[in-house]
Amino acid sequence: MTGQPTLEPRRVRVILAIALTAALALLCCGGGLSVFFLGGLFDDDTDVYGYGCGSGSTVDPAAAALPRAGQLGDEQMRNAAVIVQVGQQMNVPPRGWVIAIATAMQESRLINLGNLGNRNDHDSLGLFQQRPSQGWGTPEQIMDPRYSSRKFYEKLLTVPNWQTLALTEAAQSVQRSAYPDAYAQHEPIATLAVNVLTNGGARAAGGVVDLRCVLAGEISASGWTIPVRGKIISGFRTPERPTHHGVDLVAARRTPIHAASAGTVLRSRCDARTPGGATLSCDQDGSPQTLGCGWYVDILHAGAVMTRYCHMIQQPNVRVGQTVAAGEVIGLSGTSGNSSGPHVHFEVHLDGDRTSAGAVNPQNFMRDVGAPLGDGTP
Amino acid sequence: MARGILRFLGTRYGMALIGIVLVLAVVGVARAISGSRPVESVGSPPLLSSPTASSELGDDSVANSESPPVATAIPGAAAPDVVALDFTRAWLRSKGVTSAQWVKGLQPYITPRLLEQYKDADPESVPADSIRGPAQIRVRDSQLVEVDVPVTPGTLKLRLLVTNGRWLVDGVSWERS
Repeated sequence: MTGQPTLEPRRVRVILAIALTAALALLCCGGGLSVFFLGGLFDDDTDVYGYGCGSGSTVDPAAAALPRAGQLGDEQMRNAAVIVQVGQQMNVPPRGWVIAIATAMQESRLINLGNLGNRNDHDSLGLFQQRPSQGWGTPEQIMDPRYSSRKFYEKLLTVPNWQTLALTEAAQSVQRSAYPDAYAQHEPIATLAVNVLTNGGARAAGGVVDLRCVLAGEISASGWTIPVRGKIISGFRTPERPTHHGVDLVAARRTPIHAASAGTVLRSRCDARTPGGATLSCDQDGSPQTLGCGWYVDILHAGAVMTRYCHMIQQPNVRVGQTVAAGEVIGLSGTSGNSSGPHVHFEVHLDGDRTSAGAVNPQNFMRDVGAPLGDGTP
Repeated sequence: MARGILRFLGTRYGMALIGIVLVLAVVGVARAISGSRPVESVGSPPLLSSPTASSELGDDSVANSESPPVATAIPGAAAPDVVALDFTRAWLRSKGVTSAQWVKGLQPYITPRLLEQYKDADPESVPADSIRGPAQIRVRDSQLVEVDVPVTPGTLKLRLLVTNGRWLVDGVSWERS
C-alpha cells in the first residue's frame, strides 16, 4: 500500500506518454495516410475535386481563401460565391446557380460593373447589367451583388420549366438581350465554378433543392443526362478495340435515345456501306461486316462539345439545324450499320472536332458532368 | 511481471519502443488498405466488356470519309453570308426604337424559333455600333452554317440554317473583343 501513492502519478505519466506518442504518430503519418487514400483522385483521367454531388453547407463569399475555377480571378470567384450563396438561401436548385453564373459571365464577366461611361449610353449596371429605368431597382441596389442576384433568381423562377430549358433560353427569358444564344458559351465555366464552390453541386440533380446525385434519366445541374440507361458492353479504345472511339450501351430495339445535353443537330443521316464501298440501307439490321454507324445523329453543345448516337432502327426524329433540349428523344435504338446486336454507340468529342481525333472517353466525361453512364448499378 | 513491463514502458526506451510500434502499425495498415483499394471505385460504373461484342467489331462509328460540306445554294433566295449581313445591319439599327420596332426589322431574316427568343428583347442591349470587317463563314453542313461578323467592339456570331426554303438566322451570340 505504501508504494501505491507514488505509483499513481507514474501511471498517469505513462498513459500520457502513450497518448502523446499516438497523437504524434498520427500527425506524422496521417498526411501519408491521406495521400494513400486520395492518390487515386489525382490520376490524369480524373479531376482533383473528386466526384461529390455537392455539400449541404452554404457558401461563404467572405471566406479567407476561395477555390479557383479555370481563369477566374479572386473578384470573379467572390461574385460567383455570392450568386451561389443567394441561390442557396432562396432555396433555388443548383441548375439555377449555373444559369445565374453563366448569365453574369456574359453580362459583366462576373465583375460588378458601374456605369461604363461613353462605351455604354444606357443605364445597365452590376453583375447582371440590370437597368434602373426598366424597374430592376435603384442604381445603389443593383450595384449590390446580393440584391442583383436575388432579382435575377426571382425572375428566373417565374420562367415556365426553367430547369429543363437550354441554359441560354432560360437566361434569355430573364435578360431579354440582343444576343439570346450568348449565354451558352459560359455553361462550362459556370459548371466548374459551382463545382469548386460546392464540392460538385453542378453534378447534383439540377432541379432538386437538397443536393444529391442524379438518378438514371435525370438532368444534372450542369445540364447533362444519359442517352440511354444500359450496361456498357464495350469501352472506349480498349486493348481489343483500339479504334473504338466511343462506348457501346446495351439497349433493346426501339429504346428511346435522349439528347445528352441541349444543342444543335449537326448531322442526322444514314451511314452504312459494304467493305467494297456500295451504299446500304439503314432501315435493315446491320452486321459486323457492314461499315458505318447506321442511322445516326451528331449534336453540337455549349463549349464546342459534340455527341454522337449510332445504330438507330429508323430515320432519327430530328433534322439538321434543329435545336434540342437536354433529354429530348432524338430517335430509337436499333442495330443498323456496323453492329452485331441492338445497342447505342455513344461518342463525345471536344473542340467541335467530328473526327476520331476529337473523341474523348465518354465514361469519364459523363461522370464529370454528373450523368454517369451504365445501367444505374454501381 | 505486469508492473515490470509497465515500468519499462515508462522509461525513455519504453516510450521510444511505443513510438516505433505505433508508426509501423499506422504505415502498415495504410499500405495494406490502399493496396487492396480499387482506384476507379468512386462514382464510375465498372467497365464490363463482353468478348462477343468486342472481338468481331472494329470502329463502329461513322465510316464515310466525308468531303467538306458545301452550303446549299437556293435559286432565287439570298446566300447565307448575304442574309447574315442584312440581319446585322437591322440588328445594329437599335437607337431610339421600341422593342417591337426593332424586332420587326429583324423578322425577315430570322427563324420562328429565334423570333420567339426576341420577344420583348431590349434594343438598348445591342452592344455594338457598326460593321468593321468582312464576314467569315464556316460551313457545318449543307443546311447549317456559322457566320462571324466583326463589329465594333466585338464579334457577332450567327448560326444560319435552311428553313422553309430560305437561309435564316437561328442563333445569335456575342463576343466582346
